[in-house]
Amino acid sequence: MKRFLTLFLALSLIDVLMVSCFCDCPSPDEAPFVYCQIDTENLDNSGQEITIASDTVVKSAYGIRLAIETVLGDVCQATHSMPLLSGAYAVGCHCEVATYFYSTNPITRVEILTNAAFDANTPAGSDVADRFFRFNGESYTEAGQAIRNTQSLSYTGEHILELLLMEAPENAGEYQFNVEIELQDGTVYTSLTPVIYLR
Amino acid sequence: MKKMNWINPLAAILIASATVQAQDTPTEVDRWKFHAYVGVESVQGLPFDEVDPSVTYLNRLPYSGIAIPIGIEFQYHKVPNLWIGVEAFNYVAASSSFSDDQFHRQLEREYAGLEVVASDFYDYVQPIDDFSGFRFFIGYRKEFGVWSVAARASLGRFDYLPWEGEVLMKETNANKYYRVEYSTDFRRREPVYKTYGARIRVGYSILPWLEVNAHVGGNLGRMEYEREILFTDLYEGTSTEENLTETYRTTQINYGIGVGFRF
Repeated sequence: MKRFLTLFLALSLIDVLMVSCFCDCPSPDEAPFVYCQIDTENLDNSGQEITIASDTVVKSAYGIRLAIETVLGDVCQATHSMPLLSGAYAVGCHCEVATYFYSTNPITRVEILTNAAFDANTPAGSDVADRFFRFNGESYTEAGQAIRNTQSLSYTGEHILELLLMEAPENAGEYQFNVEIELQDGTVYTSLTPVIYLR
Repeated sequence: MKKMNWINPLAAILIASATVQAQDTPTEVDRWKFHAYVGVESVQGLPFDEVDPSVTYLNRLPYSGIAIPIGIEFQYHKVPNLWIGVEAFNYVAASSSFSDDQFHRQLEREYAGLEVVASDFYDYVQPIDDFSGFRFFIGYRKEFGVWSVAARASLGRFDYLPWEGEVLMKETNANKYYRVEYSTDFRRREPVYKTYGARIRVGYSILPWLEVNAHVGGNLGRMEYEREILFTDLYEGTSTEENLTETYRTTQINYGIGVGFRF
């Protein structure tokens, strides 16, 4: 048993030293990331502060809160290292933290599909992404462009986009929006908003 | 505290110095008397247009401050109780009780249906902080032994500096945002802020040439200025520009103490 423990510790030490010596630090200024998940919620912007909507919103003050999950590296799955094994990667390599992150699998398509007709020309199933805009305090950016702008980021993790509906539907009623984001490799992420009554 | 404009007080000191030197000529001493003084006074500005809700926020601006007046008075021997003079003053401290919240409510009255969500309205008290100016006056002064009483009427002007700001407003129950930018340039127009004042001063002579005094008075002020407003619909990307000519009126009460030198 003692011999086994000694061997295990020795292997761990070798692993640490090898990773320390041969670890592959990305360029210090930039690093790749991947899109991993999106999630949506309804927003109510009728007051001074934008809030998560309950079940009814004034249609001219409706918005979608889009959360985009990004992960540093090439794969979405989180890696779990064994205790003591490769633990020195972060410390031993002394990799500098990147300040610019880029997607190697860029977004090729963004759609926001409505499940109910906006008006006679916009039936259920239409793409209404061009009616949603992101407001950054100074200017509006069309939703598709705002989502594509996440292809270069200053940090990875969760990114929140508040997409405001700037051309409200004529018809009041229950709505649901399906946000679809397609990547270059064909991966499609979708998220369906909770049902909301737009009055 | 903003930078202070000492030009006017310095000019007054130079005038005082020059006139004091002028008394070296015996005939001038016989004909003229001089009184140079410096003091400190509290100024309380009262909102003149409080009752009119249509006036802009600046017109409603209540404020208070501390000013340093420095002046010189001249007396001609044939009219011994009549004095004429000039006084320069500069504010060394000022504050306003007008809050951001009051300003926002004012804007929301001006733009019905919009509400303020953010503002970067800086230096709207700058006109007060940078107050400086001068007054010409004529007065009557009578001595009672070591005591003296003087009353005077004055006409003067203040200097203001431009101010500007920016406010983000939002349409109630909608996703539309607007930017409202304000700017004023008092120098574009005649920067005349006229004041009409009156004051009573009581003095006590410690020495024949040295007097301490206290005063109380008031001023009415009036100034026209141009306010430029750039209203931008941030979604449509359209802007409208508006130039408003507004009048700022104020009522001041001031009181203070000073020390004077007689020649």
